[in-house]
Amino acid sequence: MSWDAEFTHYFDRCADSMRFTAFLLCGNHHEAEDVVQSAFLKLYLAGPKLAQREGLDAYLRQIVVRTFLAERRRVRWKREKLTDSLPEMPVAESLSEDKLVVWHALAAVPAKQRATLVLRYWHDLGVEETAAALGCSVGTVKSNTSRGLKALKQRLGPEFGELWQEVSRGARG
Amino acid sequence: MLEDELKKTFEELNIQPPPRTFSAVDIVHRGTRVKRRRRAYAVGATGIGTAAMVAVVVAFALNQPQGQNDNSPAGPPAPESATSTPVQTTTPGSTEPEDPTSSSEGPPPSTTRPPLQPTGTTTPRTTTTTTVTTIPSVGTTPPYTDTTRTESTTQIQQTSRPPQITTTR
Repeated sequence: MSWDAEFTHYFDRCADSMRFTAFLLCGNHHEAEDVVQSAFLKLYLAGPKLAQREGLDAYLRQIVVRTFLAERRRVRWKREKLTDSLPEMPVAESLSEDKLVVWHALAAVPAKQRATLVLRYWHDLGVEETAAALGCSVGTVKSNTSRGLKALKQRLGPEFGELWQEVSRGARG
Repeated sequence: MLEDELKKTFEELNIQPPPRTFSAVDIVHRGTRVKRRRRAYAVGATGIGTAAMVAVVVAFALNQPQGQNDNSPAGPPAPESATSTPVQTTTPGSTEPEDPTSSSEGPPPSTTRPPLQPTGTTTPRTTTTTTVTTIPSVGTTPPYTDTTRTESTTQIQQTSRPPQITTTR
């Protein structure tokens, strides 16, 4: 099987999950599509040089996260400058009110802390795996997780926990 | 608790993903273009590097001095002046006059020898090698007119005379 055919098969299998990961990282679908396309292009170029194809999922996830962080680092050098937030918010229609509050609060978390939260609580990665994906130490992953959750709590406010419990009770009843 | 809320939020977001706007064929086409462009850059850079290296080698070869390019075999080494130059020693015992032709036919074989060396070696030896071997007897007049010899005879005469005893009263 040639690399092109293998890549096409792998793309059809993993493109949606990686696109959603990029969406969680970026916060909007446009940027997520760019990040995923760049990541798949890097994977396609590096594929023939890969000795082992077993850990391709972890490798692609690492490419996506690092491409997202590189894009965020490059924002200040970009020629195009956004004067306002993007008008598209289709996510708001599919989310309940409490989830929407969490989603907006997550948008205010710094990029690296947000990437740590996504890898740990969406992909259920351990500390070591997250450190390997982000290219940092285990201690940095722990501190980023703690700071990210703290920033999220500050953004949501102290009454969010009580509100969340009431909403949960209402949904059960 | 907040972690659980995060997970549920993520799950809820994944329910209705929007359709994709690109496919694997697009990625493969872009990758092929990138590969072709990289190969063109590599070929061009290799050609430029090779041309630059050839230019440097040619420029270095042209800047070499022409005398060092002579490939003829090296000749025999020139005899040094200290070992092979014949020393003309004229002793006063041999009173034969120098043959003018023999002196003229004995130039040093080497042409690279500096011209001051043969004159400097031959001239002082004719004057400094004069030695006196016979001491004339007392009372005889020296038949020679050499000044050095007369001095030596007078000294001998003075020493060979018996001391005169002079008494002063």
